[in-house]
Amino acid sequence: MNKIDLSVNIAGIKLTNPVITASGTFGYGDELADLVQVRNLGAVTTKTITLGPRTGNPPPRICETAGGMLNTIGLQNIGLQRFLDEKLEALAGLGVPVIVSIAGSTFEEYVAITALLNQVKFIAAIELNLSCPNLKKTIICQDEELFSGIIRKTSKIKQHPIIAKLSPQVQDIRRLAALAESSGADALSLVNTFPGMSIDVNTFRPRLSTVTGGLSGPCIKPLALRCVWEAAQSVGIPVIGGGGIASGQDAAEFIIAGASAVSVGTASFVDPDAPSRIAEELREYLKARKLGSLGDIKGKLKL
Amino acid sequence: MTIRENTQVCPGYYRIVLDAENLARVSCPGQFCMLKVPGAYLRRPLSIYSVSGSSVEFLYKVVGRGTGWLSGLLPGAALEVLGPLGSGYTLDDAISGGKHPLLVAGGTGIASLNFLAERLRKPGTLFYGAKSRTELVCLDNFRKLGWKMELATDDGSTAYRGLVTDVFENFLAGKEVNDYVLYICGPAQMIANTARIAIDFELKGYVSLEEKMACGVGNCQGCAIKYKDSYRMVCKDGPVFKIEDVF
Repeated sequence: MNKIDLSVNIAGIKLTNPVITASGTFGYGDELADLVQVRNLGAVTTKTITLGPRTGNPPPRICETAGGMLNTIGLQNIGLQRFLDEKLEALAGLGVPVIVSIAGSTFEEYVAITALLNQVKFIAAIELNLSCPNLKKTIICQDEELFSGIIRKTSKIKQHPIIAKLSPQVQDIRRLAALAESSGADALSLVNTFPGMSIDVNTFRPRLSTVTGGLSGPCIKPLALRCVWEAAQSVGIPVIGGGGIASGQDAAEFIIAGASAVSVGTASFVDPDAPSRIAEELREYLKARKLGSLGDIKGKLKL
Repeated sequence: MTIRENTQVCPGYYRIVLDAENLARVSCPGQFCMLKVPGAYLRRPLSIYSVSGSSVEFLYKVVGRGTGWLSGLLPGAALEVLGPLGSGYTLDDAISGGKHPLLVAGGTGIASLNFLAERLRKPGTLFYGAKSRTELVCLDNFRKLGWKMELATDDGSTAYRGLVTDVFENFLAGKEVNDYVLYICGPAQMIANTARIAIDFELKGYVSLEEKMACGVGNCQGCAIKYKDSYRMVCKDGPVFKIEDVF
């Protein structure tokens, strides 16, 4: 009897399947519970939490592109205190591992939020958002000293695994990945969105309120896949790969490239069921090849 | 869901009818659906225009790629629809509250207000403006329901040449505003002008807003509108808001 095993273990976190919802695409995990079977997911990543609440950017915040979309949400979130007061109970009841994404405007904020989340026993991991391109500051990934310092300090005080989420906007993703590992990260997650823009030719105005924003969706898949492959080659820690994944076949590409798990984001906007459908399609893909587990394809790119 | 009809009702405006028993049963005026349109990446939000039996109808204008593709779909074809979504119009003020409903519509704003009129079950007054009489769709529906209609066109092909907001403002002069409840839906500028008039006259009511959407369910935080000191999402907190909360 052939039972296909989709389970994965990422830095000690046991997932029943490798599909993780990307930060910023599944709210705080509880809102979509009446629309989607959350239990079919491998794990959920929350919206990025900052120390204080953020109202986000003015509209317009999104715009469609060929095969994708641009966004400039601006890290809108309720802030750490309200997150702790209001969201934990629902998250704890989801029945799947919860990864909390965090960001700070300063080094100290990353450390402070990590320290406070250390008290929350049930969460599976902390994902450091080091790459959001919609803040008006430099992308942390482009400042090696700051990047390494944040990972090193949060890893030192951690009670949960630390996942470093990388931006693709760096000269050498291999170098950034290796630096994250040597600084103490337990796993990597990549990619965040690519910077892009769109102009309305009737009004001569940019379509996004902040002029530029982050591009995501199927159009970035080839770009993201290259980053994930290069990063996976450069580290021994697990890699969560994503960017434009819309099907089980897409997910398989990233796993063959070396990812241990995959991140699904924008696809959920078009189809709320996308993450669990993708897990099922991955199962069908393995079944059709008479393979038993993800280990049979992980990192198996033939060169 | 299967498309039963998809026809042009006047230049540029189409009416699509779907076999959608479950959707028909639970939909309320003011709610919308996210339609998957081949050829476009994101789903398209459309207000529900009418519900009868197990049919759900949408009224739309071809304005770009997504709606262009939609207009080419044939009866018998399947269409993926997510809905009903959002908060609908509050009917109490008109039904149990006894207030006379005033509807101000422009362009495709008539769609959600048509569904509202169907459900209010008592006639009110419709203020409806367009470039020309040929673009004033579904007047027959309102006529059948016994509504009084005040029409305005840019080209004077109706009794009044000018803006529908002028007709509306003239109507309100001298009226006891507490006898009425207002519902507004249409282009952003028309909504803003109508809301300003309502606030000046202290007339209370509801407005249905639009913003570009990705997920349509409150997840991506993309469709934000200014709401007091922060933002609310048109898809989940709206699309219907109290006029005094957003203007």
